[in-house]
Amino acid sequence: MLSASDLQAIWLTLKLAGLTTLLLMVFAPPLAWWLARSQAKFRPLVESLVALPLVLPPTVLGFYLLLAFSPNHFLGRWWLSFNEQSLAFSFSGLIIASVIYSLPFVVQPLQSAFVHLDNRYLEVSATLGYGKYERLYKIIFPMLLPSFIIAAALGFAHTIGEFGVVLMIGGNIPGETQVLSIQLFDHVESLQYNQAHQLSLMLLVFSISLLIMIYGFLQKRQQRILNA
Amino acid sequence: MFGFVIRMFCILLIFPSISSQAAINIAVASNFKVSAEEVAEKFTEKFDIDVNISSASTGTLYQQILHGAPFDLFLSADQKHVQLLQQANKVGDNQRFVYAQGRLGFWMPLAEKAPSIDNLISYTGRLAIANPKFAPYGIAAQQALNYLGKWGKQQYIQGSNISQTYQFVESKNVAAGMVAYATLIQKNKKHFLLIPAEWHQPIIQSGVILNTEQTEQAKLFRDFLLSESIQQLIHSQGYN
Repeated sequence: MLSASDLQAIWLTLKLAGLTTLLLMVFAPPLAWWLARSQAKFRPLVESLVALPLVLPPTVLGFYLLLAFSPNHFLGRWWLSFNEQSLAFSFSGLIIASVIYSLPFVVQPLQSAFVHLDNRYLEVSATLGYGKYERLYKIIFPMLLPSFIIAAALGFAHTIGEFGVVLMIGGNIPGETQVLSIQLFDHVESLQYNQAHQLSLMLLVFSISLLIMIYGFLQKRQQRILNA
Repeated sequence: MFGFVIRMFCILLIFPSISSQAAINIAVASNFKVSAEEVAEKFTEKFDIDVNISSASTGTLYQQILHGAPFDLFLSADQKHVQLLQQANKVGDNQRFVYAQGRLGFWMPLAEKAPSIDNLISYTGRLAIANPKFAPYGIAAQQALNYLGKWGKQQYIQGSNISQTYQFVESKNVAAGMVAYATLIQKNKKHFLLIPAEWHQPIIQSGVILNTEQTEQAKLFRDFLLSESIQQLIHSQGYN
């Protein structure tokens, strides 16, 4: 069955995807809100930057990150001033890369939900004396829960499927940067097709189960609302 | 007007197929890419046959050829993958040939002077190597470190091929690496140690002509590659 290094890669991948999603769910919603509501002149610029990972090849991101992490450049130097290890080839580096790479997948569903949220709900709740945060927790969040779930699920799934960037800045270190997709690539390159099949099949089953779970949840919720 | 556009379009469609008759496609292991490009340029000058070079890791190229990638010639970084293609009946009755022997270099770009063997032995920081599971230069690096009794005693940053390993060190993200000696020579680098050949199994870079319609042109390229003047050129670029 699965070898110890496969299991390690699976655990590492889940850790990476989980932490990335957590981070994204903290600061993507305010960003998405701002993108949905702001009339600032530079909004298109910020919007483009967020969407960039959708269009750029991962290799471009990987290449620039590798340069940025190196002690030759500001970010790398700054990091090294209070850390021993460089950001490249480290788990922290992968987190940074994944957050950038998966950002549009989390921001965009939220942004479109925020755009379509009718202002009247907010106005009515304001007249009922709801404060800013009450409106967030009692109106926005419950109403837009499906969008939040889709955003988180897409961020999570997309991080699990990340390959190009990790290949460039990961360095394939077991337990640190050797994630599932890299481990799979390794198996194929070293002609270990059986292990490759096992991991691929697992990834396929996992992905489809995750998606069925999410869409199933959304369907049930829809039925509940329609029946109510 | 419309007819003219259509006619031009058809000519353009036919055009590449005319020129591609006189072009051969070569799959080259990444360590040999720069040399291969130079050889190809001289070859085109002499025979008026264009050469398209695709480079990747030996393993990747092997997979591609196995699944029908249209290469006429495969220049691998080892013998194993060429043998595997022979076993898979991808090469007809073409014999494999050796075109270069690779050497390893221990590179420390930030060192004050070229590192010695003692420096290599005492270096315990992160070391960039090619993946020792499948990359020929990675396998050799593992053998050399094993020979010194220090394999597994430091953290290895693994490149999926030797060019990526080089790039890890070049970008200064890793302080030292076991890279292709030829690349160091070609890029005019200092601060490296040529790893003694007896520390690892020789990196025998072999090639083979694949079973395509352009076998004749591919043979011409192989003979050119193995000719004395080109072999001398390859030798001067850091290969044995």
